[in-house]
Amino acid sequence: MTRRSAELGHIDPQLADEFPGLALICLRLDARKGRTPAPIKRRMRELAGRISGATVVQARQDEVPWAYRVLWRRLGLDPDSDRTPVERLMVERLEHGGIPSHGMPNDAIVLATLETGIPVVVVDASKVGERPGLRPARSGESVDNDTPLRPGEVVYADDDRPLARLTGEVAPVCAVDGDTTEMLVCALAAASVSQMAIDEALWMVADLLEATGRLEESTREDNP
Amino acid sequence: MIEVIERPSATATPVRPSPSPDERAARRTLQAQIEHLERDLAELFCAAWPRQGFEWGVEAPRQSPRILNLGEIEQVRDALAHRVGQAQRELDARKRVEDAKRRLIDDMLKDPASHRWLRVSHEDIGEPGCKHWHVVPRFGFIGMFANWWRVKISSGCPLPKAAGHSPAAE
Repeated sequence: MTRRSAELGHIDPQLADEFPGLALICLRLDARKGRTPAPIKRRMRELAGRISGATVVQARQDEVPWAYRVLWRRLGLDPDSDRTPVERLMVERLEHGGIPSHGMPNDAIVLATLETGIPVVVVDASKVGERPGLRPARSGESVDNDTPLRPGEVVYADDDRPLARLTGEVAPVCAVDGDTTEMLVCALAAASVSQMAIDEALWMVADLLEATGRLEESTREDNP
Repeated sequence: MIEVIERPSATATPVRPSPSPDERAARRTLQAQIEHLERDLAELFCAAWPRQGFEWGVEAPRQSPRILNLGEIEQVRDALAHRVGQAQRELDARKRVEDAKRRLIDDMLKDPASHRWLRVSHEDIGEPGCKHWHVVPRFGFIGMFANWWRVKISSGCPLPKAAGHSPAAE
């Protein structure tokens, strides 16, 4: 698997002016969609065991989840109704009593988000146009080709179309599918979130996808 | 390996001066206040746990994430300030009641006979768990007539039962 260097996503000038420190950091890597290997499922179970009600309560005061609560608030959302990705996953963990596996790369996103608090989205790199980044949606654009976005809604997008909502909902046109061979992993950086946390999230997704690829390869070699 | 790349710092030069300079200063101030209030709200949320019945929601001006106008930012700041103030007052009021209950527990332990049948639970003093202090007569009716009272301390929550299982069904 080839990893390329991380690159900064394009931030709309108005957004950059309004939210200093807001950034999108993207990493391209060769990876395929697949089943989650047993060791990663075990890691998910262990992580689920570490997330209790007290952890979720305390998370609000932790630096990284708090930074995204502030960002949500500044974007006009109530993070108690429209939860930040990490809080949504934590609450889902409490409600379901575990972290269900949905295959790769979804499980890699869940692990990286829960471990680091950083929102991560993964899209098919071959379907992403020029200058992926963050910008307000234009009139008539939509993520799911069904419900149009409200003009001005901040979305992950390239020059041509929205790629995903801030909540993590990826547009079907650029979602990872069976034909994907190259992925674009994007980490959303809010002001005051350290570069180390962002790098950790990206590395974690890349490592997990790499490990999955290696395991699948060795399985194929064992059972030709 | 991922190359370490520099993110634009918070002091990076603004790209497009869309709002007037005066408005930008006001926006910055309001954003800083929102950050401060959000921290206060998070601290209160943690301090209030495990107490129930608090309202933490803050009305959002928009249904989708976007750049807010000055009025909307003010609205968020005001709503947050209102929520923080309200939660702080409610928490203070509860703590006063809880302190009184704690003193009552001390009094119950010192003089059970003067606090007959009183019961104070962990919930009453803002603690998690099912522990409670209950003033009951020693040896049942004998204690009642002889005025022998004691504080019975129940330390734990009832044991969980399997769903659909009841002793009567056996």
